[in-house]
Amino acid sequence: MVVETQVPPFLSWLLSDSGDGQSALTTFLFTALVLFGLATMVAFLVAAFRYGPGRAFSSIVRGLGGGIVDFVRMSPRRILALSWLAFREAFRRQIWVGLVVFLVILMFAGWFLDPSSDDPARLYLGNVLNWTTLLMLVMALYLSSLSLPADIKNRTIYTIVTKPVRSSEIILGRIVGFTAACTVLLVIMAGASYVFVSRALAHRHVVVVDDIVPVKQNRQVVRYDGKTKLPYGHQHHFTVPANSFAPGIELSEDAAGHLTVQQVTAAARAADVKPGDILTAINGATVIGLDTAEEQLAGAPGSNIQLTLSRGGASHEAKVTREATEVFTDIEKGHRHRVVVRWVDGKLQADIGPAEGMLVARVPIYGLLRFRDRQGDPKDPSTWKIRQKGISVGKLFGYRSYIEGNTLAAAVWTFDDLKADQYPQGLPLDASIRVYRGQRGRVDQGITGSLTVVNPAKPTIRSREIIFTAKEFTLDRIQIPQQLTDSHGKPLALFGDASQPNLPSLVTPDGRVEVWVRCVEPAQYFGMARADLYVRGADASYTMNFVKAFFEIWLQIVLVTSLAVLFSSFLSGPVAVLLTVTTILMGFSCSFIANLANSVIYREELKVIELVRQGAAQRGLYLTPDQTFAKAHDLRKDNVDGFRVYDEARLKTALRLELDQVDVLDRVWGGGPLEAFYRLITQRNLMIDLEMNWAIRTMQFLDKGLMHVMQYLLHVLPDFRRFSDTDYLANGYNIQGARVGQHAAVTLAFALAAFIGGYFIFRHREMAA
Amino acid sequence: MAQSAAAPHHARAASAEPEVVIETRNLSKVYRDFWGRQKVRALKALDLEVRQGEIFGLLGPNGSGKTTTLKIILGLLFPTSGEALVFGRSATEVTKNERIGYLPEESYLYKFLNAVDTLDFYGRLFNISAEERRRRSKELIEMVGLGWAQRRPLKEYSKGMTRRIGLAQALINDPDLLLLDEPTSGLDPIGTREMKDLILKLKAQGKTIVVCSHQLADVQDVCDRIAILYQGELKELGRVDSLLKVRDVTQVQMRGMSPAAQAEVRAVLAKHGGEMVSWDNPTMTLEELFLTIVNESQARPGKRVIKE
Repeated sequence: MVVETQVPPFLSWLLSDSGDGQSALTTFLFTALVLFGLATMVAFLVAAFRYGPGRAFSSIVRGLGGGIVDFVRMSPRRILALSWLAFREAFRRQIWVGLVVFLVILMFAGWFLDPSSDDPARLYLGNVLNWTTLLMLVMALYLSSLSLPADIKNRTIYTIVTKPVRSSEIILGRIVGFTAACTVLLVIMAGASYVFVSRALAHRHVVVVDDIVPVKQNRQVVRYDGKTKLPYGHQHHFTVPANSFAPGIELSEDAAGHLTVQQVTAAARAADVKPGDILTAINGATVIGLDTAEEQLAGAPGSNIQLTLSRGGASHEAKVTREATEVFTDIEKGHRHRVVVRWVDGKLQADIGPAEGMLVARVPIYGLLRFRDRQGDPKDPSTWKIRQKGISVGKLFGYRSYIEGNTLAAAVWTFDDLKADQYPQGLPLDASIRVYRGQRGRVDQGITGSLTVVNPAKPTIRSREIIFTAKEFTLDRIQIPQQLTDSHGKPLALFGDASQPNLPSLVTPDGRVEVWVRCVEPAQYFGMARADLYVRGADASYTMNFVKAFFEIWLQIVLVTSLAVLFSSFLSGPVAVLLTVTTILMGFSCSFIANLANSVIYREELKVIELVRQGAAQRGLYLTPDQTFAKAHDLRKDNVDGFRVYDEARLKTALRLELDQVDVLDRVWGGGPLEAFYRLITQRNLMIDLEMNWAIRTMQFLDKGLMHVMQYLLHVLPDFRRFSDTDYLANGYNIQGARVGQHAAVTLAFALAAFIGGYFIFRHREMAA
Repeated sequence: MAQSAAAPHHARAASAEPEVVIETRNLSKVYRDFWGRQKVRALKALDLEVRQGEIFGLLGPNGSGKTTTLKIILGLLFPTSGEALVFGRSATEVTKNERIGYLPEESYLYKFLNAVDTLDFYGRLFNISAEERRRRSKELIEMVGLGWAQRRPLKEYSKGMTRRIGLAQALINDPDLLLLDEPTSGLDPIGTREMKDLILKLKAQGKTIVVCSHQLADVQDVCDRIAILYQGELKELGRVDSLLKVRDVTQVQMRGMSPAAQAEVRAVLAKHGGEMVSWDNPTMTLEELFLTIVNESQARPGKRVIKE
């Protein structure tokens, strides 16, 4: 997975213009105002129909005034009492069954989840998150939509509303109480999930002595190659440099430059080294600093070394054996292990530590992506604009652009705001580059690519190409070191080196750097989008990420609870359930509905754009939106076939909304519901044009009207798909705080609207009717 | 309120009129179906006044509109026209409930709560402090005699016990106005007696009580004034003692009269063409009055002239 949406900082999202002249807050306020106006109007009409306009007007005024009073004078004690009742009711209605189901699922999940899959963390996390979401939303729905109707049916509401309880308190009490009950469940589920995932993924490997093999060069042992046994469906390899073994003492350096022994192993203690000793010389050579001392201490396993130590002012000698070293295994299934290799009785033994890096929260830092064409030209010759796209290789996922191998075509990412102190080990890049194969080659092998780091201010300063292999659907880690060389072998520094100010640096002083990716193999293509290559910042806390993911599930619970309480304030239980489910499903398909509505409303205009673009493409021209509009206008004036029916204002809107950018095949074909139904019963293909007559015209007109309604509905539908950040956690990406903030704010807005709406409905409903 | 409450109900006769607690003006209710079509006219232009400190009986056969009246007074229903005022405030206003206690027809309580929790919960709805709630719920549970079952969930309660906890719940806020819907239904004779005593005791504390019932004997025992509704119209309204007096019959019983005196009386009677049975105004039972009114209304539908 790649994180595709960019999240602006929370406050700027909330308060400043997002491009269409509105910030989130103004959008909310505007929508709320429109809804409020509509609701008041409907209420007035209904009341006027019943009692006549005069009384309707006065009762509306009284209702609004009373509403303000009811919100201002809510009593915390009453809200708490009602929430407490809802909480008790939730447990009386056996919501813990959901918890039992979840725990049973966890108990048996181990049978069905394959720990040897490509990314076990994703599998396990995805599973528990999906189950939690599903169960919790069902629970929230069941609880909140059936409660009020049941109270009204059983008339228990009589004893509530005849107390000085405000309707606002009843609605809020329900929302709070049910949310609290679900929260208890969710917290338990989260805890169980956390334990389950960590326990299920935790494993250690065993290495037997025979699996550590010395590798010789010129009859000298230069390294040991080890491999683990294979009990968890995968195997790790590790390499131990032969001269990396050290005696079992741990040193620390104080301000005066003294090296004090902190901890010792049993073997070192036996050789009379104790914590607190000060190391003064190694093999007779006086020690200078920690780094050099450690270099001096390292050597072949089993070899001896003479230490001079000072204890309480008195100096003594100790002969210790180089006994152990520490390395990491390679990364397999997204994790690695720490390996401690010991020299015991003339043989090497390896202890493998727990899996590391399996449960992470990566923090990607994105750059800006531009393309160069096969001549290396950054600009499009027809428009003289910087290329934002590569070439299309046909009907693949249109999100990525492609560059051809063995040409000058390149994808160029520009990163800014990089600071040297944040990347002491160099620049870590994560790349997941798609491959489109022009020739088959060996499918199980990756395609070779090259990566060059370039100084954007002075493009002549560029590193030697770093060769990597791109394979489908894998995330490659490319570490750009601090010291590089250019293609002539001259040294370069990534961030500039303070000790060598003359060394050219690749990152500009203001923290910008370019990364060029090219495909090396001819007739093969690399596909890339902006999010496919990023600088990996310092990892965030996995546990916090876990909490954030569950917090987002909690937000969904709040949303469902508020909506269900709203609907149950005027509907009977089953109908409220149905309406809530419908809302959730529609919420999940928001983007489809938007696409459908646009495709139906701008049907003629899209056809016109298509015709104009086709004509231009035949002459090898690319038309900007303005040019497209002008061309269509001319053709309409000339009364050309197919240009008579469209609406110019709508064409302008369609171009502004960039509907022409939506892939032709992604559009919804076959018209709105009526037309689609007509096509269904007359067995007409979705793509062919219908012969126009008055009936079809009426149908299309009605469809358009319906779709306009749908478009308005979209403004008040919660986009559930965007709420789900469980993918972030499962794929090991940090969920940005701004995202969580956005979702919390949106949830709050919906909950507030549901609360206010629910109040007004409930207040003006006859409980005994 | 508490001051004047101490005054006995005979104080009605005194010059100062007690405060009007409930007032309905031209109250009408039409039940409609989903499409807004008229289904039933449940109440037709009802004018009522309930004064402070009295026990007011609201009587009528099933479907006569007495429960509708009660629900409008409580704000559970909204009037189609006219208005209901409680303590001078509109019945739809929530704040009036501060001073009202309501015992519903069946006790619609949360069955999964026990008696203590129930009273505590309703106490919290009145915004009563924790300490006060504890004190009152203890008192009330004692008063209705449920101390032995206070920790059992209400679903295990018998009908009589449910009634009692229902009453306790209605009294949690020490209300000035009590609305009792069928207070004695489901109670055994002893329970009925206790309930009636309790109602009288509450009245003695100065509370205004509206009783809605078809247990006429009960109403007869406790009510000061009654209103009889039939098919949504007020058919009779007045003090129970005067309503039950048969005015066109005089009952005379005499003792210690000399034969001459008796002859004289007889002569007077004979002169007026009467025959003395006994000298008194006999009373009938409320049941008789009720049936008379119902029969009369069936014979001559429409508004009945009420003299008070």
